[in-house]
Amino acid sequence: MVSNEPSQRTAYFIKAGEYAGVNVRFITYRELEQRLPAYRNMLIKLEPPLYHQAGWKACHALCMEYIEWLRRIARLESDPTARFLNRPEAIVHALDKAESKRRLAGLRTTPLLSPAVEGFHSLVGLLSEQHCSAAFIKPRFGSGAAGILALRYHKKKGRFAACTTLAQNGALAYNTRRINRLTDTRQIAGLVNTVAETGALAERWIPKDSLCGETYDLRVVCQFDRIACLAVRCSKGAITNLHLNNKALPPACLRLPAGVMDEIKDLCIRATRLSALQYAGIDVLIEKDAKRPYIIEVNGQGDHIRRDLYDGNTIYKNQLMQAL
Amino acid sequence: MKQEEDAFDETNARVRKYKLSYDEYEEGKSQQDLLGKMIGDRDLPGVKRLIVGCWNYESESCQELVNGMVADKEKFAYIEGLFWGDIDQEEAEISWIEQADLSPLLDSMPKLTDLKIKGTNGLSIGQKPRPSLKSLEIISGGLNAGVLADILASDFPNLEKLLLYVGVEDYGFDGTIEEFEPLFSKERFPKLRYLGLVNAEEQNEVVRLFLRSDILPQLETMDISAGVLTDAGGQLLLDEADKIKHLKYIDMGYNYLTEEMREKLAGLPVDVNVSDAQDIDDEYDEYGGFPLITE
Repeated sequence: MVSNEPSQRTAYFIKAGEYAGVNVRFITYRELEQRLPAYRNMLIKLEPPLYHQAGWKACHALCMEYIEWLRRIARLESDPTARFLNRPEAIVHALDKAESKRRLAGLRTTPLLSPAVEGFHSLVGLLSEQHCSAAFIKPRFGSGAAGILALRYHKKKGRFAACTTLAQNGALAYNTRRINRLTDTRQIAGLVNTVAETGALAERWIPKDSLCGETYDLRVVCQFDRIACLAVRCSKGAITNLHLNNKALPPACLRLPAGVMDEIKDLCIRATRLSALQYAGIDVLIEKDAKRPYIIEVNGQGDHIRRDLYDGNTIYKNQLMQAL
Repeated sequence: MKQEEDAFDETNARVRKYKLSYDEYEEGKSQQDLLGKMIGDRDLPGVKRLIVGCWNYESESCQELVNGMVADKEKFAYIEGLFWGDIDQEEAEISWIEQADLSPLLDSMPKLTDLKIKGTNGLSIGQKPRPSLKSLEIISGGLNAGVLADILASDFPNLEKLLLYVGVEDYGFDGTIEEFEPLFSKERFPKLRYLGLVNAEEQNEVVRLFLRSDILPQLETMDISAGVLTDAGGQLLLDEADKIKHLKYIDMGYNYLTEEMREKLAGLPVDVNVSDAQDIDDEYDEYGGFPLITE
């Protein structure tokens, strides 16, 4: 199991190895790169690095560095018998939201307004043109909530409101661990421009279904063509990622018709296959009223569900057993 | 926590919600289509409580819908409950919900007992007697002076419950807490049992308004929830415990009370809700906390 430093993920994956009777070792990226041929007959799981940077541009640079590293590993190891749980090039494709959307063509994903936002000014023009009053602006590269802006536009009044983990301090845009609500147009424009500089796409904001007065989306872990886990992520706001102190609920709380549940499962299995991944964490939103599922994002390293770790560690255990 | 019966529980056959879904809106459906859906519903004559949800996804006023309903007003003459603007945050910012003059619509509902409205931009409820009304709730990120003026200039002799969300300046609140003081009057609301002035930055001041009012003795519920209620406000209640001991319930859910103060308040001889305490985050909360609904 490869990352830049040990974490809760590595600890529980090692435990899963003990359960499966397999010796799981943690190594760093550097170690893997230097000694890859020696690891050829081993099963290799590539985990995301842990970032300790808050500055947006520094985070983006680390993300691009990581993508470059994955590409290098993919080039080094072109032998198709190498046993990566998820191949590095497939992880790279999932980390590139524009590429990932392209691969998922044919599946219902959140509708793209622009694959390449140039900046705030052009974005406003696009929203106007498309009669769109709400959109998500997402960094093209990376995963999770970092750098995402949930933006609303009041065309008649020329007003904007945004929810984002980003904040600005002077010239520095940085990530916080809370969701900030902004209404100052200059501030919002500044952050949109900052994210657009590193590559960003815009998607229509599809209203999410709600549960117990809170909106929710789903994180579905799919592995080896099966649904391994489904977590319901509730939030009082537009951004539902669990590391932002939002609430997780068990799937039993969902009251979706069986047909919708089947559609979710089918979408996720197909998305994982189309992304050439053996396991993935897929974010799914359920449209309010229509109860129609959309894929928000496929995360090639998104099999980490904290509740599952404490509740049998089944995802990692099954992953290892099936991979072996 | 005490749960009030939900007058707009959609599982009740006599409650019906009409709205434009996002899909319908994307297909080009308008307020006229929403009106058609409502008027054309064969079940409408049996509906006693009407919920009107999203009428537009681009912050357009609901005037067209109101006009259409008023033009067909005999269809709504028997409505007893109206929730106007049941729109959640995924559909619109509360402070961007564009309302209209609802007064003609309310005039066409002589049996209306429960009125709940979400969003106060461009809202008017008129300034006239509404003797049938027993419950009035207005939810807002920032209540504007015009709505307060309408309430003060109207006459609700049978009102039993009044719940107003004050909100903050950035989202439309353009007055002072003191301007709400005339509401705390037994002469104005002789039958009021539930009074809530919630979601206020100056929630401690709201406590003062309650404590110095002549309406307090007749109340059963004091709702001071969802605002920046701090230990100073909690202490006011403790200091004047005699004045509030007759109450059945004090709602302080979502507050900025310390654990010690919450324990003291829980010891009052009244059923209290002190849940959902917030921490003031020094890094971000330069104003020392913010109300629940400020978007």
